[in-house]
Amino acid sequence: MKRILFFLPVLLVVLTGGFLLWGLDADRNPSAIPSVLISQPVPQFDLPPVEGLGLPGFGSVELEQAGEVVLVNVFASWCVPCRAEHAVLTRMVRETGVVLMGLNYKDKPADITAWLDNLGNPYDRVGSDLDGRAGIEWGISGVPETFIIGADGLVLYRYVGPIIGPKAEAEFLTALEQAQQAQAEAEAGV
Amino acid sequence: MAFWFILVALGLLALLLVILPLRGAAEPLADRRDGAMAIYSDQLREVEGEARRGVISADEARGATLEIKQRMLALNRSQVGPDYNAAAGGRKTLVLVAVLVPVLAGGIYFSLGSPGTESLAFADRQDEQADAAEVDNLTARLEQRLMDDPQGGPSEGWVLLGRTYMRMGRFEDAANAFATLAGREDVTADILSQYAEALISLENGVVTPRASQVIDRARELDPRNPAGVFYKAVALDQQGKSEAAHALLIARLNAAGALQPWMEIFVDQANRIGMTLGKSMVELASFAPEVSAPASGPSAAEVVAASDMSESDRAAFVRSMVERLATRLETEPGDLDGWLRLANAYGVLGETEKSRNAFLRARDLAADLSAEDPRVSAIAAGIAKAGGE
Amino acid sequence: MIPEIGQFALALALVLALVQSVLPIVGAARGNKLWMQSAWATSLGLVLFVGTAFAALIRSFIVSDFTVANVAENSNSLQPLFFKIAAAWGSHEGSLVLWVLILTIFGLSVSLFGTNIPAALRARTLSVQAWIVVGFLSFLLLTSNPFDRLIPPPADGSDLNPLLQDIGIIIHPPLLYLGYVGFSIVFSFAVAALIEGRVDEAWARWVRPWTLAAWTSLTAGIALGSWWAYYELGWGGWWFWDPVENVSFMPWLLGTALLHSAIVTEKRGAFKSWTILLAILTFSLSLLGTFIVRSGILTSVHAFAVDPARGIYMLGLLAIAIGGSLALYAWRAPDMEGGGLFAPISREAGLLINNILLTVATGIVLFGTLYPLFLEAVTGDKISVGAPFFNAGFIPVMLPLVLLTGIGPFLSWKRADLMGVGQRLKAIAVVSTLIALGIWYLTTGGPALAILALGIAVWLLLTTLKEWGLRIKLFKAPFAESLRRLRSLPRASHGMTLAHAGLAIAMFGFIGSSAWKTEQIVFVTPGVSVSIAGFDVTFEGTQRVQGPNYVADRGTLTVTRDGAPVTTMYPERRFYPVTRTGTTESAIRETLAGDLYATISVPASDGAAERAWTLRILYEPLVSFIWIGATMLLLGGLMSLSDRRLRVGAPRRKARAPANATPAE
Repeated sequence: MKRILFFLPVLLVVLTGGFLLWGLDADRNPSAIPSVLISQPVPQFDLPPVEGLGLPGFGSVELEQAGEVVLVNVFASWCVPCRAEHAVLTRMVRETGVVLMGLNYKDKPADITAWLDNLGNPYDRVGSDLDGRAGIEWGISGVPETFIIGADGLVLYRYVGPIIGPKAEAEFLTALEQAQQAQAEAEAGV
Repeated sequence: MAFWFILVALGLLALLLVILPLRGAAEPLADRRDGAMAIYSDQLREVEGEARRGVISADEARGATLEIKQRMLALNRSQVGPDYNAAAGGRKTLVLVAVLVPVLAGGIYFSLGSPGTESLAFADRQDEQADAAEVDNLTARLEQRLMDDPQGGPSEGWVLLGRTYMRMGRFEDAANAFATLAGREDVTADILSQYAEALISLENGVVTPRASQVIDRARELDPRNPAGVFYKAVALDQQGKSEAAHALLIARLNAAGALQPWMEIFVDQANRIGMTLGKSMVELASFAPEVSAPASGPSAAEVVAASDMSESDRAAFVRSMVERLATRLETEPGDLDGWLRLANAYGVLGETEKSRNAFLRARDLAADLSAEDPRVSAIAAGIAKAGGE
Repeated sequence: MIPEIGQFALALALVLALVQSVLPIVGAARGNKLWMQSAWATSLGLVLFVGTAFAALIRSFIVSDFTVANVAENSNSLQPLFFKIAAAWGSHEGSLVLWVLILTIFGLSVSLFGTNIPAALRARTLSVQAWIVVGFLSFLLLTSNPFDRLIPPPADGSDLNPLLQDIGIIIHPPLLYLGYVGFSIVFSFAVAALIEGRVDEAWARWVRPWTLAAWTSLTAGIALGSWWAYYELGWGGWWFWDPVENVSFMPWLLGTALLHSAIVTEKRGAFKSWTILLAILTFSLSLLGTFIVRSGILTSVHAFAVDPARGIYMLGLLAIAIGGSLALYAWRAPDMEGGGLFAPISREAGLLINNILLTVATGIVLFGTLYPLFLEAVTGDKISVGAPFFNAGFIPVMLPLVLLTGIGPFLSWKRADLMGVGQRLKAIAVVSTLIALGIWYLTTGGPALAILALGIAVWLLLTTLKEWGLRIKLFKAPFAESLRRLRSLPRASHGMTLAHAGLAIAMFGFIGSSAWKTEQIVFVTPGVSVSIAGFDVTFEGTQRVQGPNYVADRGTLTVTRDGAPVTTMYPERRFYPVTRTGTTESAIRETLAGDLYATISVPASDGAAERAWTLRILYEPLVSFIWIGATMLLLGGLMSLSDRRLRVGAPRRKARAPANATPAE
């Protein structure tokens, strides 16, 4: 009995080691923290349009009354991964027809206008969050981040970081499809 | 030279360190029993001292003293370990190990290091920096001259400027230089595709709508421009139309006829895209008859040999290759790409009639391809070039 | 050429370490003196060659030799010299070279200063130490070669990453984790003892100085890291329960337990297998810490570049080192003879409780650090464990420990008289309670836990002083007599007093700056006043100041108290044009009573008309006591380390016969 007790440390270490090995999985992103907002209504905010862009801004009201599943993408012209993500978002909008709203985080109107002119504009609305207040309300941890908002203005899903690569895209699209399906079922039920 | 000297010196130092104990039996080794005994004696003295100072009671002191003495007795009863001071063998092993040290280290070093690669302090790279500054300077002057020119500067000048900026990795400046030319009458597909390349490099390989427009213009001017085709394929792939991108690349490769420098990149790119689509790999050899393997083309050795041949020998060599292809196609008449290649090869050899026949065979096979397939237009163009129906 | 010499030196070090891994330990088993002695020279060689490699690396950084990939990736020709040098150990590869260098320095120290240690134990210990060196050198050479070349070299180093410019981020992690490399040697001693199969009172004595040295350097590392975060980084706090901080704190907690349990082993021959287990686990936690910092398995402000291949290799090393040593422990430890018996109330029992509490505290920190990983693996949920968890788990364990620390030194070995101790400490208990109540009255009902903790800290300080006073018969005997007793007291005893009192004093700082910290964040325009902790701080406006390589907006804050001027503070917002980065320079007014800490940040809006700055003012009471207390802990460690008794050895060149004789009564 006593001898067995002396094996306890090794067992504990092996167990911990197993978890550590699991944690090393290259596909695991320790920074991906789910938002406290999940299943919560969107935070209260109202963003003005970007000056000179010619697209309307948006706020909580627009999201609550959207009547369909909407994506909110936090982006900025100064953010390098956003450029790479831009192509993915553009394709996603073209292929799925989902409504995409841009939360333009701490960006100069002239910069973002030039950026969108150059890369093309997949956004239906772009709100200018010049001082980052809306970003704080949304609790973002960095740029880019993308949220899936239900028709009733509930935050359904949050993706931290750029949606780049087949795995990330598949993950995000699955979440989007589920959201849209749930929405369709809810409508059919009504 | 100094480097090797230092290396040998370090290796020798390591060797010497290992054989250092051979120098002679220095001082005797500390023995466990002696050491422990010294510590217990010290503990005894300490207990005595504490008792004297009144820190511990006489009772406690007695108990502690008894315990320490028991330890001493136990130590004396314990087995005496080997007398290390008496033993002194293993000299040969030590020398052998010592010699092995630099040898093994050398082995590790030569597999990991880059022997003889000089270090290069930033401060010592003034020549290189001066060169870079000189290029910067010349480029700036060229740009200034072009800007100051009331006629807008000669197109060759802008092309030179754009290419220089591309080489320097200043993609934005390069794009600006090419953009100046984009609006001109004499703009060529070549210039436009370089412009597109600058725009794409600027976005780390992402084809922007603006770049896409430029690519389309380049292709309007010359649908066969390899760079234009290449970037069109990249753009298609990024839009998710990987099938079309793959087909476009293969069609252009088929239309090449003879080995061209850009074909290798095309093959790589086609395979990269093809992999995600689950298509089988293509090889450079199947597009350039010069590089086909013996069963269906020449071996690499034959190709090398071909490049050393005289003009007439080479023509004969190519002809034999083409005939081999023609024979193979007789047995496998369903190979559309093969017929296209054969048609192109005959075209290159100047045998218009045979080329036209091959194109016609290809057209029959391509009958159920959609009109958008680039091969269809390639066939039509080939027939027209070879004298029509 | 220089980088290649560094590379070759590392290869030589690896082979020498392999030699040292085998020869001495085989020599000890077969009684070959020559092979055992070879450890001395090889451990010197290890320091020489790893040192050469580190010097070569630093030189490459200084001259910006971009043919070395590591240099090109981690520095830039435009950086100031200081940053270039710091980048040498700021990078993953460079810091590992430093890690190994420290490992080898501890090995050499045992060769040089451990002359009183029996030759066989020393040879085995050095071999085990060399195993660790082999593990890390091979990790370095195979997965993170610091001398990989880049031909042709890039025109310049990597873009000036703002992180590379933040000297604090570069220096903070090494400070934290270098301290714990020292426990490697204690680990080696423990494994050597398990191989030898002999752990006794003498063994504990031989190992004590090394435990003390490791503990002292880790204490210094943690204190410096914390000090750095507070003053230089302007983080406005001294401890954040960040994973990187936790992984350095766990070895400290367990190392403290080890320090105390080894005393029992040394005096009474008890706790043998427990002491060995602690020695193994302490270094295992250090290894785990290195792994966590290096693998990016947990998020932290400090994370290094993530590379799964490195992670796997390192996890393999951990499995061999920790798993192997614990398996050896499970095999050998049950055979160790028990030591002297003791009553439930005795010094031994007190130290046992001390050990249990410290181990539980370590367990709580370990659990909190790894819990996010466990939870994610089991349920997929992601959470972050923050200060509330650690405070809630850690403090309730530490308070009884501190209470006990006050009593422990009064307990005698074997069987203690609790009533007698109670009589002696009655007065102090009353005084501590009164002081706690007084503080409660003064702060009109501050947080109850803080007042309790403060009372306990006072208790520890007073009991420690009392114990010291009793030992030298202060005020009980003539002063000259007390002075004589003071001198004859063993240094280790003074060390204990210093360390315990230091802990009490540091606690004042911990408690004061956590419980009574006040903070104000306001938008200010010139002329606006803010009141904080009895001070009135007036923002006078900002000025453009030109620094050597930056421009700064320097704010002027006049501080008054009840109308009387106290001081003027100048927090700055700096901008470095070359790197296009900004930094915040806080202004701190330090007093014993508390620090006033001010930072300004970017005007709230770009509109020129209303240039309102964001002013953050903190008042951290008693925070200086943390640094005073930490210094005392450090001095306590050094004082104990200088104790004569730690160097007792067998007289040299002594014939065997006298040693076998029973000493005279």
